[in-house]
Amino acid sequence: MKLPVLKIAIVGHTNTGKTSLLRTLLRVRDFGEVRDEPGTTRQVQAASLHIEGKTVIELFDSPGLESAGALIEYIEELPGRRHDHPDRIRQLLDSAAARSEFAQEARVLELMLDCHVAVYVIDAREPVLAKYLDELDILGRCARPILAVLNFVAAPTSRETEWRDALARVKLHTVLAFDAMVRDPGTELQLYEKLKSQLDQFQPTLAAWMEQRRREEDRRRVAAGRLLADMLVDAAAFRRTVRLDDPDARDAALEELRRRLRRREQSCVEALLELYRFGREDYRDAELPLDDGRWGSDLFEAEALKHYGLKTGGYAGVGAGLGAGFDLATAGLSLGAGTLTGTLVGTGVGLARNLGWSTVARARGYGQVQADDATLRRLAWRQLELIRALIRRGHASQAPVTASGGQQTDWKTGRLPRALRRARLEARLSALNPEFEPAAIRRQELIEELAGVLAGELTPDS
Amino acid sequence: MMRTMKSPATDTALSTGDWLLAETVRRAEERAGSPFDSAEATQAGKLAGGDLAARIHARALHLPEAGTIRDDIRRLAGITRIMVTLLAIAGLASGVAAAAISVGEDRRVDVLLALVTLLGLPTAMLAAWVIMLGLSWRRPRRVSLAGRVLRSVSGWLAARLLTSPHRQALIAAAGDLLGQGSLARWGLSGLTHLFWTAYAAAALATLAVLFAVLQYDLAWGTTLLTDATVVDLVDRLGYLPGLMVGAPVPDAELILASRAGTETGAGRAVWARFLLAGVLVYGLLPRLVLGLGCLALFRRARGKLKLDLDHPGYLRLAPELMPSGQAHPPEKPRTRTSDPDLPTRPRKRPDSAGTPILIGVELDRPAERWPPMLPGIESRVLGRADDRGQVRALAAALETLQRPPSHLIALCALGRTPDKGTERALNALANAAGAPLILVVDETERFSESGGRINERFGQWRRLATRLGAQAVLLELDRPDAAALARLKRLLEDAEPAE
Repeated sequence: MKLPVLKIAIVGHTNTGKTSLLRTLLRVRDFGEVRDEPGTTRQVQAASLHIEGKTVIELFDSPGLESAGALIEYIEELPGRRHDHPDRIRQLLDSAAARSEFAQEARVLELMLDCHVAVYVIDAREPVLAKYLDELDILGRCARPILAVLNFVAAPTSRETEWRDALARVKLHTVLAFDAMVRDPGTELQLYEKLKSQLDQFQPTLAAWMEQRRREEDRRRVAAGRLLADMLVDAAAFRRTVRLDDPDARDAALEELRRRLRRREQSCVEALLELYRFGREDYRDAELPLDDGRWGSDLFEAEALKHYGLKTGGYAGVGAGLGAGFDLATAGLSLGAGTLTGTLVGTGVGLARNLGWSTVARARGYGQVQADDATLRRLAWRQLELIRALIRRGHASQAPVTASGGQQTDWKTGRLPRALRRARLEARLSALNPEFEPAAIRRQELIEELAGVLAGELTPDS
Repeated sequence: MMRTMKSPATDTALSTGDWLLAETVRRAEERAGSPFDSAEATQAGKLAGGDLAARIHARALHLPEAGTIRDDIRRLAGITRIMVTLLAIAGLASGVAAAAISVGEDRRVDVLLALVTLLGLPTAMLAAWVIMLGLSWRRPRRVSLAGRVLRSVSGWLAARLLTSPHRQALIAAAGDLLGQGSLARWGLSGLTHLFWTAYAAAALATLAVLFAVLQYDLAWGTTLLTDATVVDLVDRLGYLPGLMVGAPVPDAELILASRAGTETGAGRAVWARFLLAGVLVYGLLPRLVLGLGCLALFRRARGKLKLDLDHPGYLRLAPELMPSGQAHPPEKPRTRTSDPDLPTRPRKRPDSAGTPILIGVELDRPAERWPPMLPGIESRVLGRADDRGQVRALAAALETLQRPPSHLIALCALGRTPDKGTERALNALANAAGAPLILVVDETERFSESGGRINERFGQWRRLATRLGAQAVLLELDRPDAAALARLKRLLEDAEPAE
């Protein structure tokens, strides 16, 4: 079914943040500010939005009507029916003044008549001056629906209420508040919703466009779950062999384990940011729990455990209580291991419960250490928080995305998901181990299973 | 259970080789951390048009890495063919062996035993297959145990035989291939039917040859069953073959006469045909038909291979291959015919001039703080111009002054962006005053508080001043800068404008 192509004129003075709005709509970083050359009129710049390569929406970045006052006076003097506004606008466009004195304005009005709807961008910090209302007056005479967008509403000098009142007085009730500095992609959805309410015949086009956006979001969510699952499998299966009776070597091995886990977490964070196209300039965004693209608190900080309210239950290696938690796999170890187990309490790693590990090696004083349950929980919990924050940025609503009621795993307590417990057992499943087998089918199966569990955590409430 | 995205019907379906290529590339790129860098391939992908899957495929084809990967895919296909052939040969061999066993060494064939030997196992396996199919009907993607074993073995083999640098990714992709749609189910079923068809065909052929060139005595014997049961059994068994291939069904007399220990060898041809027909109808035909059916369904499932676009490796490519937004090249700038009213050179200070006049243009300043204080400068405040009406009124007032002012000081706000309307208004007011114009740009603190960049904005005001043949001074009246004030004073004292 062929969708009618919607043409939207985005009209506003320079410095109203029009370009930023367009960049958001286009999802293109380099839509540029057209330089204001002296002696030339300001230009209209066109852009288009596509679904699968076919244009469905055309956007036009247009300057404002700078001589609105003079223009109104001119129009008032034109002959003809006073109330046939579009007719008078056309007369104006045909006149000689349109080519000289009002060349720039004529361009804008031509565009208005050519488009189906106009989005008028206002800098909300500006006082409600007569010249803006004059401008809206003329734009209104082109008989096109107008959506007013108030920009910079988050600035300290913003006059949002004044503007809303003034706009209401000229019967413009459809207003969108926006702030270019805050870079909230949810604005886009709001804009299209409001346009939909104004334009009946373009409902299918806008609906198709919004549907496309939603599908993209869904896709991203699934992909984010997969990225996280990949990291968790890597983290769960990762292990290091440790000489239990040599304290220095032992500490070095443990520290290396932690270091590599931190690195692996960071590369997951970067991949997630890239997936959500969160660029360097977005780091100002205070909404993400990150600190300039990294987690502020260390993965292994004792405080982190408390922060997440995580229980040190389950397989904590031997982290939880020396007596009760004594791991079967360590049976047969020399006394040196007992000391080791003491030092491991609450450190985020534990002796591997790997039944395949040869008892001979164990008897000789070697052990394998892996990340314990608490660490895996923390890894999962932090990244889930990050993904939820990234998802939230894309939603029109400001309501927090919490885990849905039907979650399959309570990450805070209880057992880890089956897939993770399984991943623990085989060294070949982790990219961090030398025994890594990239083609292992098992790995893919576990990742898919885990991704399914995580996707359940990420479905938004609404 | 993961809620997977339902791909719409318009998503492109790929051939097996193409699917493997795209998936291999994705895995290799995900492992490497970033996509392969090839502008040519990306361009080819973009130009290919169609949906994202089609573009990803086109890009994959044009990557420099694609060559070795496709070679490996061909090799993999070859290996698969060989393994299937081996399976068929194994089937044939088993069939021959089974037939040989069932006819025995001593030219005496026990018919019922032969039937059981030849058809027992295949029929049991067939029943098992039907049951498994029924149990797993709702989950077509699940790979059975046999399938997993096959996959592991092939993986091991392939790792040794493939040569491209991305072979691990290819093996992983190929392993995943089985999990697509109903491929696993129909493919593996087809293979089992292939094996048993080969078995039955070989057994049939062997028996036929043996019976043709050698003389056997066919009898039957039983310990548990009664004569009547056996007659009934043979009758029922023989019904279908009789119907389909016209094989003779031994009648009751012959049956009873052929009992082991009492045989005469007379009905051997009938029994031989009965046996052959039984193997054909109960052994070969069902398996052949099912095998062909599974092959057809397998082919159909292969024809519907789609890329699962929910992977980060694919989503990463979307902005380049199928940008959802695109800016068009900017319009040619139209030259603006310069406003004839603008002064070609700066206005001169009139003779017999009075005090400078101050007006406010589009200020934020509230009414309580008007008129403003210009420290150390004497001026007469005439009013504010915020809309056309006020501009007209001020212009009229300026024209009817007794003595023209020495200068017209227009107090402007840095927060405003000077545009044509402002230009027009200031020009009109300056003309009405008949004196040089000085723009004093105020409200800088308010502007920077709201997040503005002072230098940039003031630059625009300066350019406006130049166009108007005027001077511009940046001066925050709430906290006046001494240097700016000094400059303003100098401008007001000079007969000719400075600079």
